[in-house]
Amino acid sequence: MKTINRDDFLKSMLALVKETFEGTSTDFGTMYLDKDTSLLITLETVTAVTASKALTDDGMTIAAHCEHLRFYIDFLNNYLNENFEIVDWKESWGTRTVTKKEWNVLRGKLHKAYQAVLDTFTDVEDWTDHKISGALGILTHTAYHLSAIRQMQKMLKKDAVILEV
Amino acid sequence: MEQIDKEYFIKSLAYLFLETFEGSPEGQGSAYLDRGVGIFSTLGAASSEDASRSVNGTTAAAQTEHAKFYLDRLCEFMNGRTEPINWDQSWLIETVDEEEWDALRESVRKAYENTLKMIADHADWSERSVGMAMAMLAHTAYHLGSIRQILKTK
Repeated sequence: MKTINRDDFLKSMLALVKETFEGTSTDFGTMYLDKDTSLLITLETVTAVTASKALTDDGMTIAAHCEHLRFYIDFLNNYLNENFEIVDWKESWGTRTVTKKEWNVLRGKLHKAYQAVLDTFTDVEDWTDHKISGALGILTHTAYHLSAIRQMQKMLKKDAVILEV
Repeated sequence: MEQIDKEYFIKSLAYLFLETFEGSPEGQGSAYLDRGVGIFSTLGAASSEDASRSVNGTTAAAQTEHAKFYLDRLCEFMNGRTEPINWDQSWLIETVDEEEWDALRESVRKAYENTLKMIADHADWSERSVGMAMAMLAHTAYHLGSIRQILKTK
């Protein structure tokens, strides 16, 4: 066969993106993440204080990773909607520390960006190679940063225990 | 449009795998990784000692073996395997000596090459196989993120 059914592609893509953000299981279980390790579930367990800590003086924080993710998702969502714009990627790393209020706002923006992507994926009619690459980029980029965030969270918890002792 | 050109999907998937393993090629845009970052350059820069250092109860070697195991098994499923997998076996490696680390890195390269071949040769792109192929990519990207974070910890 020279073609792939659009619905087959869309169902798989939506299932994987939902698993990455929400941890939703598919009919045959999770496809690549352990239970309760999705991005939104992970970020619910991170406080603004932890999100603002770096492991090294010049290292990135969890808040920085989140804003970078939001920026990337919004950029590609615009691209998939055929609103291509040139952006300064350095701006995506502009956040370092957050207050409790800022952390809630940032997580809200990330959630909104994710919801917009679900709508966009559903609305795309003509999946060209560029659009497929854009969707795969959102999936892989989020997966990549999710694991970095989870490792950082574990390291920061360990450091906190050492400091308390 | 109710159908997607299979070549579009294969081309995009193969490019993302190439970037994940080899890094984005010079002169071409990167889809999600910084220039020069990929599985091979990351593992190539790590010694067996680095790969065996325990961080948060895991090691870069353990993550590497697990990622490779997942790729190999999903390739088998894509090629018709039906027997279930004991996923505990994907976590059997914790530390490696120099020789074992070289062998593990070589096996990762073979798993990557097999994956590209499987993608190119696969004929029946059903919902299940499309999902598995994309999960292979997402899973590798996830563990690349972990491995790079673990290796940063000295």
